[in-house]
Amino acid sequence: MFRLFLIFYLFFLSAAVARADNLSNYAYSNEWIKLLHYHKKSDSYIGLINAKSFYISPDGRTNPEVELRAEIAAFQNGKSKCDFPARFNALKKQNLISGNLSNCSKYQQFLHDTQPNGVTILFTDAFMNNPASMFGHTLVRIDTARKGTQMLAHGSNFGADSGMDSGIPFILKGLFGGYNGKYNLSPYWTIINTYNNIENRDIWEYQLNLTAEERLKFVNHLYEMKSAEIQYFFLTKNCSYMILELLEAVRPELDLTKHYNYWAIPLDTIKTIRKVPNLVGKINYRPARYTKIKHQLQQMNPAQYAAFLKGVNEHNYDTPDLTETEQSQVLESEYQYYQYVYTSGKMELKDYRKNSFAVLRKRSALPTPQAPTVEAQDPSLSHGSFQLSFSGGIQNHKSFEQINIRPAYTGLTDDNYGLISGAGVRVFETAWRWYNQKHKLVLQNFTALNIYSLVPADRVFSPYSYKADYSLQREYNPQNQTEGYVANLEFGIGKTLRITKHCWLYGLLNANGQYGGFIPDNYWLGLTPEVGVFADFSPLRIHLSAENTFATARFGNRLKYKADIAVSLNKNLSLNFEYFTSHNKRGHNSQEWLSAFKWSF
Amino acid sequence: MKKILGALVFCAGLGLVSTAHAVDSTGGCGLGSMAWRGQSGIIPQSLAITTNGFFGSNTFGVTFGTSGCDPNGRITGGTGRMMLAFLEDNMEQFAMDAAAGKGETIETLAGIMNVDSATLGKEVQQNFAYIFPNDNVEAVDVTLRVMQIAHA
Repeated sequence: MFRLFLIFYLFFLSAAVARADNLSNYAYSNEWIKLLHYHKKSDSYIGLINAKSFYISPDGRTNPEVELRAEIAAFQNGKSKCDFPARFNALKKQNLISGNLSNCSKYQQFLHDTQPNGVTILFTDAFMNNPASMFGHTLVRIDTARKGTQMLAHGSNFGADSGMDSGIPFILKGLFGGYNGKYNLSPYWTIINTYNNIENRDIWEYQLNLTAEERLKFVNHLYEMKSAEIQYFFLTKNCSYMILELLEAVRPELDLTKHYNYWAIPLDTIKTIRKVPNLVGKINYRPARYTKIKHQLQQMNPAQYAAFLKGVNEHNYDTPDLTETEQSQVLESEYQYYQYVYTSGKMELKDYRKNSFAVLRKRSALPTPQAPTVEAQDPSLSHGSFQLSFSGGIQNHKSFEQINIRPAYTGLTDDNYGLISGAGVRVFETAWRWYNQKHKLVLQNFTALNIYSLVPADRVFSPYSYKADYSLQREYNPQNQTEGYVANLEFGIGKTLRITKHCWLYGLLNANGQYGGFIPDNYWLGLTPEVGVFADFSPLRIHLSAENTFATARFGNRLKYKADIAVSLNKNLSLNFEYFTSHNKRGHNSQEWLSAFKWSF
Repeated sequence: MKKILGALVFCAGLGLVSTAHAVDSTGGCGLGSMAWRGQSGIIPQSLAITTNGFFGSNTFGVTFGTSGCDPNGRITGGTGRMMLAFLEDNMEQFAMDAAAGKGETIETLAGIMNVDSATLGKEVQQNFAYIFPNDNVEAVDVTLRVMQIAHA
């Protein structure tokens, strides 16, 4: 009898020990670690979320196991469970707690309003000529089961809570984690309005193939995150990084964030998500208002185009020569154009109402034509933003080899599938050069930022083109035949004209200057008219330019010619031939040839 | 300093998040292209009266909120409130779709009202001048007229 009792006793004891073991195993499991956003730092853990309410135990942010035990105890007593439905379900699935969430009225209302039945990742493209949007932005959408369309879904944005800050304080605080990031929720139609209609940025929708359980977990987890505050870093812990964190929480076996310790470019994170087999399902494109108008104008026949110009310039909408279908296309374009002009602040509200109303009145009397669909290239299939170039060349009779390392984003003559033709943004590019005769390795160039934004102007839209450069460069002084470092600063603005569809001519007026102990007087400032040609006969792209600098110091006065010819072998590989010559006004010339093999990934 | 200045533009791209957020934080509603909405912008308190005025009795059980805005930034409420919230923010797109007789906003409204979208498209195009009698129309009036037409 005593032996029997002992056996039972040992049995229960071991069961209790086993449960404790299971508990600490689960506390350090992928599922728990990722759901609570713990990150391992050497031997310890730290939660990403700073809000105290996100972890129940006072030590919860640094101790996954203490937090797990605290939550089991709390949820079992019905405390806090309504704030953390994803955790509640996870623990229930492990048989660690019992009960349900049916009495959680706020949470139930949330489900009732959103009626979730899917998850879509949104990428808002860059708007051409808007440098602030060049890297895009990402959001998530909780797809809805409501009748109608996904306009009735809800989008969630993770953004820095910057209050009224702007300018330099905004940037500095953003860079160094001075703000807290927060999720917000809004009807998808406001997101469409914000990006498509106000900022004129295309939206790409990447629907995720998730199981029903994962979909609910995503929505529940987003609900948990609504009160979360996360130290926001523009470069790293930004909107796009946080979406990867959400996905890992939902499917713990995913390992997406590991690539993004230093910076997270929105488009890159979309590419990472697309690389997961079968994760992305249906892809939908939602063109911006500007994109739609541009597209409609391109589709018009000459008579329609003339009618459009007459309409928007003279507000005369009589078009007896057009067919009814042609008329309705023109009127719809005119209406959207008025919206565009009004939103850009270039038309008074009174005039806007009068004009747009007149157009629509006329339109409503005409039959319905087939709506034109806008075709576009998926930006997530564009070339990789990290690029290595291997090149060889001759500078003033000295041969060299060179390696360029460019973390982001795209060059003017790089492949532009899915990207904007005529736009180049290069960030933090470093060029190391080895001179063969001298056996010398030098830092040839460090480009903090280089932008070219060439946008052709036409009779309807006449945007400016511009360029900017901020770099450190090794410069050759032909006068005394020495080399040294100078800092370059340049900004220019101008216009681009279409000669043919693929060949553009541009003119820019640049303000520029150089600074460095190497040059006479340490600095010069100058004005530099620049003319150039950009031709995109993909896979062949050519950029030619001529610049004439009028500077405060003689050293800066020069005439420069440049040629950059690129042939894409595929999206990620290209061959480039570059030539550059500079004529100092005293007749001192320098020139350089270079051929490069460029690899993006 | 160089790095910071370089980073400046890199981040400005991501910084837009914040700008967009600032816009959104106006309440998650009332955003968008609402230039057509009357200057007041706020829905009159006499809404219930207007409703009764149109339909005589509460046959459709319409209960509007005082505004389409929800403090949580969510789509909520019954048919009338949802339609009003939707039209407040999408009146201009709806005006164009109504003039054309089809479009995403018509599909959405048809979903909210649980009616056939092709039929609704035809009806709103035919009644365009009634729904939009002038260039100063209020979302609430548009809502009521669309409902009236759809259920007629």
